[in-house]
Amino acid sequence: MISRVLKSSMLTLGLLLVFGYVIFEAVGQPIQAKLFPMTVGSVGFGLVAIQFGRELWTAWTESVGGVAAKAGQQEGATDFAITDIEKTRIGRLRAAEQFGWLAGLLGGLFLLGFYISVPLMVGLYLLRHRESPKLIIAMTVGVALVVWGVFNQLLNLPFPQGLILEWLNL
Amino acid sequence: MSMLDAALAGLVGILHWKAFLLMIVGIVISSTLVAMPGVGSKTAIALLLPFAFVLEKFEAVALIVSIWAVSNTANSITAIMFSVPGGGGSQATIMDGYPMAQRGEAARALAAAFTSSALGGVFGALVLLAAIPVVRPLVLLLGAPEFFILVMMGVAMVGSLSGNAPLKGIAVGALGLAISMMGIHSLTGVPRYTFDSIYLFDGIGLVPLTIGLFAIPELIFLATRGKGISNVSLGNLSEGRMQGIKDAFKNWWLIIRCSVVGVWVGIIPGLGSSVADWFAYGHAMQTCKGARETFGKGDVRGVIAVDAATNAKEGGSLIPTLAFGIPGSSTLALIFGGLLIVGIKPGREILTTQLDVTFSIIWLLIIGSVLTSVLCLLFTRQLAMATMLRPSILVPVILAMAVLGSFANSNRIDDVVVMMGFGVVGYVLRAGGWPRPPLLLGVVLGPLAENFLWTSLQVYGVGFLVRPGVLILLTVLVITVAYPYLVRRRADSKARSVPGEGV
Repeated sequence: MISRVLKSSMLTLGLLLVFGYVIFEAVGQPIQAKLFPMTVGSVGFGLVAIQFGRELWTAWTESVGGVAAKAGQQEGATDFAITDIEKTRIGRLRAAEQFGWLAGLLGGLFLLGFYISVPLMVGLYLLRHRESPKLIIAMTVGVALVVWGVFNQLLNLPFPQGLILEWLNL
Repeated sequence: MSMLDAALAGLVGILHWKAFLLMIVGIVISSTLVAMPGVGSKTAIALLLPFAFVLEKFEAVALIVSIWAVSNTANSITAIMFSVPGGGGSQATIMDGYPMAQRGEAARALAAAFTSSALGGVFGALVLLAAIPVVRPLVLLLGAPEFFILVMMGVAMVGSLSGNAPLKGIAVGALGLAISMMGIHSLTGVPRYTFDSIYLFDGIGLVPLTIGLFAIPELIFLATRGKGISNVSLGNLSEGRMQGIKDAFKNWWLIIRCSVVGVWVGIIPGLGSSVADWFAYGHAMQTCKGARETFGKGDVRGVIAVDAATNAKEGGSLIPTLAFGIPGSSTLALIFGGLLIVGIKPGREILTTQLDVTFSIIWLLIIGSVLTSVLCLLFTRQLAMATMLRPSILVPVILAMAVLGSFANSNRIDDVVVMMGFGVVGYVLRAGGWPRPPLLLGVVLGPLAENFLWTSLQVYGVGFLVRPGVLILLTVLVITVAYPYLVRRRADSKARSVPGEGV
């Protein structure tokens, strides 16, 4: 039961640690700087501790009575509740793939810079989803033009060059 | 500045060609994006916020506010035609809009929805206009202690009402407040929660945080779904249009009543479009002649009631946002943050020294509501075609915009890292059933709350907590937070006492 509770309450425990840290870090600071962190940290810690207690209670009543209690069932999720398809294995794999794209893009930004990485990501993404070559070329070029025209020329964003291009002196 | 001068200055500011053009851009972007479920107005505002950095005051207001103000109009398209809610406020539109479309009356339903949206939007703006002379002296009466409680009330109310677990919502709001403390403390110069990172000395940027928190999880939702929401034929979308417009005007009294419902829901922080639409639908069902027999089977009055309410809500929700600095939703918190970026401070300032901005927002609501409805009526087919876009095309474009928008926050790649980090946080919160809106609200309102708290303590000592205004507000806060919980507990115990009915 303990391992199941810990698995389902990882986020709650994480938040408990965060609020604990908020209080811990505030302790040594001057009164002006620590007043608000201490207040917010204490309130947050208290609330999350109660939530953790509720989750423990729910798990215990479930294990004793064998009846699924209500408390843990996606409560608070009216924001934009996770959909059924996202809970499936395929859904989780697709989500992991998106995080992979994010990580890849971030790596690309560090190594190749914005001018290359962003259009490259768009092109590769479309290629991965078997879009037509015409569309891939049009969209890749379109995004490259937006990066350069709108964000660099219009908004004057100084995009970093990327480590590889810097190293190659390009 | 007198109210009349401010009203005129606001109108002139909005009608300047650049501001007007940006308003049209905002309307087109908003109407197109809300037609695609999964990409809401919040994502659109977050992606366009970086542009506000280079815009003048009225131009920025025109762009940011127009995206939000009209987002409840075009979302009726997917609701009526495909039975897919385009946003929180269009769920009840499906009830009668979709059966009408199935009967071949899609054009009539859409025209009725767009017309009532315009009328509702104008009504909401007029209520906001009427509220200014009333709330202005009230705002000037309030001091730092009352404002501190009001800010905390905003976070707590949105936290407790944005889901069915008030505890989780308020805790996430507190997390947002904690995140807002990162950086150099303005009063003492002490670095707080910076982990010795120079980047964090300025705190976490609102733009990368919002994009990460909202756009990335929605993007993952889009990618996971894997296909567009529709590929069916759109059919005839012009026959019956005039009838729909006539229907709306014929039911003007219903529009006014439901607009009042919408404004009322809007004023209460935390209740969103998804509450306004069902309240209005319920009201129409109870008060319209023969509604119990015809509602749910394709009665145009069901569509009119919902769309009038959800659009009127926007005017109502601006009253606490502009007057007291309490954004009632995460989208309003984002607009609040956007206004701060361009130097406009909601609260006392926007009702005194920057009254022209308040009026420009009211004008924008009026002009934007009418313009959006006209554009939606004229380009229904084109907007409906947006639903056919495949996620495989949308996702990389939005991702590219998310990265570029985040970088624009402070021209540092660290912002992109922060955006991605909050993307993970947003996804994890969503997966765990912890609402995200209170977090954003906490981040936006945190610095204000801290200043008000410190000023209150300096001026009144701990005694600020027993000022009459504070006590009244605290009572309201406790009732608001506890009420939904008590109602649910009562419902649960009732269900338990009647075996079989609670299952």
